[in-house]
Amino acid sequence: MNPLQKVVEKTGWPRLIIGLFLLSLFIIAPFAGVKISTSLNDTLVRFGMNGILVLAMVPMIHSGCGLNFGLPLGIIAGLLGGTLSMQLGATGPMSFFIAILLATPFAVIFGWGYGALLNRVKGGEMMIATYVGFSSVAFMCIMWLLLPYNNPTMIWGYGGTGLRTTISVEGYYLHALSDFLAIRIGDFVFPTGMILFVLLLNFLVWVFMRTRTGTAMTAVGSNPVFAKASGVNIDRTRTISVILSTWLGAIGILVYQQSFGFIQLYMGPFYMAFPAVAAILIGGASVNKASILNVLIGAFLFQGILTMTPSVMNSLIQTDMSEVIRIIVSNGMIIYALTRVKKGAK
Amino acid sequence: MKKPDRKSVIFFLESNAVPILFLIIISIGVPYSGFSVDYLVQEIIIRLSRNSFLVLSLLVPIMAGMGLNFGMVLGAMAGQIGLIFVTNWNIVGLQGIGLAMILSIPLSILLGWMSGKILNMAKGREMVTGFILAFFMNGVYQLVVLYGMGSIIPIGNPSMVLSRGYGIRNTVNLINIRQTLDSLIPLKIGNIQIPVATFMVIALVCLFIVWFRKTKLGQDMRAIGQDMHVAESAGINVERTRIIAIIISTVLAGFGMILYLQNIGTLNTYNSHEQVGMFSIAALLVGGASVNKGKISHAFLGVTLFHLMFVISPMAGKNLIGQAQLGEYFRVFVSYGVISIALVLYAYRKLKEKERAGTALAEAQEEK
Amino acid sequence: MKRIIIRSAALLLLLLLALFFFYTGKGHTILLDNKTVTLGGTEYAAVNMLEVRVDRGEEREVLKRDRIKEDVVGQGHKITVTYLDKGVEKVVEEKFRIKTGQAMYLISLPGLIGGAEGWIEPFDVEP
Repeated sequence: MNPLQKVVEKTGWPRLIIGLFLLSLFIIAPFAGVKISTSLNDTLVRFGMNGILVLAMVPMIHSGCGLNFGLPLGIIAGLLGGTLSMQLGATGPMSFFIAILLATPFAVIFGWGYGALLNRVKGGEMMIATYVGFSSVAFMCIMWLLLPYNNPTMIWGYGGTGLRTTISVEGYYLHALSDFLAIRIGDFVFPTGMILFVLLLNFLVWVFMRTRTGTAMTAVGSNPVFAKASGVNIDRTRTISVILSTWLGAIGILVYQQSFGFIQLYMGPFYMAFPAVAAILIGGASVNKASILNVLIGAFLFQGILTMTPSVMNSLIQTDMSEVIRIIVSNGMIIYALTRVKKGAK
Repeated sequence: MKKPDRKSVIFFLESNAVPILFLIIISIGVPYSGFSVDYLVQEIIIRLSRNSFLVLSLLVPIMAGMGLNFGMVLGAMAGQIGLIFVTNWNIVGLQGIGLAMILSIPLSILLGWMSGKILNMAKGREMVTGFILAFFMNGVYQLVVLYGMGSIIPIGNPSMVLSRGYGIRNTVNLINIRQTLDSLIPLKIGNIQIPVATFMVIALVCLFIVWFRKTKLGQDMRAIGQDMHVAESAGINVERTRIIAIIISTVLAGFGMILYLQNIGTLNTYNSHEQVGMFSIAALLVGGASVNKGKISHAFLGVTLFHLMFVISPMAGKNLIGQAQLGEYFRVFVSYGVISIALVLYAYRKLKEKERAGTALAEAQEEK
Repeated sequence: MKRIIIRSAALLLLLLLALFFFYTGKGHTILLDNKTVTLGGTEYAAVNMLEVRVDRGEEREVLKRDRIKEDVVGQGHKITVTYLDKGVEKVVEEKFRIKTGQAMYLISLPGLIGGAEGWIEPFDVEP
């Protein structure tokens, strides 16, 4: 096997194709009249918005629970935190931290229940996670209608009850992180605060993975029999990883919202797990192995494709094929990963 | 007569928990919905004729131990492409339905073969792979229908093409074939219309499934469903048989989609197929099927119960709490909830069995 | 060998069935015209009022200088025209075949009644 083949083998065809695709997009971009600075800026912003949602995959992959298709559960915890923070009248950047604070107990409770469930269905986690995510989103659709929120910026105006489908966070935590220490060069805005926050959380998870609990998690994921023999409580470790994933999902969506400007309720979080799953896989993770580097590379590559394709395609062939490309790239990547699992690994 | 002992009652309740739960929900909901019995009966008959075929297409892969075929959506896409061509060529009536079915066959076989190949690479996680595969192929479908048709694939009927010159419009009017099968043999009992011909086609596919179970291939599939390794050592070509199971399911799903759309009368080019997998699977599970057990009766009971809930929940929600929206969310929640419960129960039992086998093995080893 | 024969027979059957469906199910539009026309040098005057029926469809009235549209399926058709000629009711019946590839045909009813050549001709809507 020559070195080139080795590289291909290691990175895998889909990843290579996606990488080359993005590269060619960046090369074509100037000729197509797309401004690199804006593209790069958008990519960075979206990288920050999605970085933590992608990070939320890591603990569960480590502990052998597979890809966290149940991410919407964490997102719901985040939504509860965000809406409660607004309901309680917190304003400005402070409301962001209150939102995180309020989301945490929900994330812990949800994650604990979700973890307990996944412990009873070892071997079938991913499909069940997907449907746990879906059902919880559908259940919350009912709750958003019924819960007694009464902040006028959040509820339906015309005599209706229940929360709006999209709630603006302007005046609350809009750009709470993004504007922090933001660097402006012309129309290029570097969202320093957000990027720092994402990197900080990534770093914290990296550190956590090297603590006793973290290494136990990896052991449970890679070799449960050995882990059990060395006295690790498998179910407890898995539950912790699920709680952590869920909590990261909650924070992830808050970071997403503070940049995006809106809270999306009801069916909003429905499909949010898939881009995050696809991103970490593109970054080089597999169903049972993931590192922080995979998160960073994956989030950047995937969001890069998402921002670059519409603009480049539009100026080249006057049609927006980006949606189709997004579907094919992200799901193609997930299928590739699912079919590549070695026997015995979950 | 033997008195039914408590154990068997509990067992009955346990193994039929989902249909019973649904019966309870419906019996509460029906009075609140305010619909007349006639209306509900008619509605059930329409929905049975519309959805049964699709639900029945799920049975073969269950038999082969491949779980719920979320990839049936691929067949639905093939059926839709058949319908697009038939509408484009202006083929009318039963011939249109027949031709659409024939056109869908090669596409379904191709897609089913591909799907089977991929699922063979992902043994043990067929469902999640099939689920993602449906998403993936949806992208490919869009690529073909939204960009390929009218540019590479000639579409002569300008009313079907988007104003930009290529790509099929969001809705295709199936007026040519609309309910032609349903109204072929009209029968009216009281106020209730019964689409006899459609039910005859459904009966045909039931017969096919019954017959197929008894063939060599069907027996092989059941053996694989029981235990893949045992089947393999018994000389069954596991991979090939599994691919065939998926192909059959995909082809049937394509037919089912065509029947479904001939009843609806309009094709939502980019949405019709998306929900079909989820609703069919939920319906089958509501009928009492599980990931590894599915009977024809489950399909019919499931369609009846599931769609009855679908019909009544918006009105029941409106009359109970004053919001129709709530009823709609409720039925979405129930659809997903039912699938979740079925998946959890199945995985839980499987894990328990595995653990039991594991401890048995350990004990046997200790005795030695 | 036997398998191949059975399979190719099934395939052939399916193909034939598809062709059968295609030809017998192909829908066409026929425009029925009651206007004064000149066909082959002869003028055929529009008829005051007439009733026309295609295949087993319903009888439809066509007024003078009117044009109606009828959807038909398949290639072989029969057209029945009933009109008043000086107070006497007359019936003209004619069978015709149309080509599958042609979506639309124009029938001149006065031409049909007058027995003109070319009372039916392909009709194309300019794109």
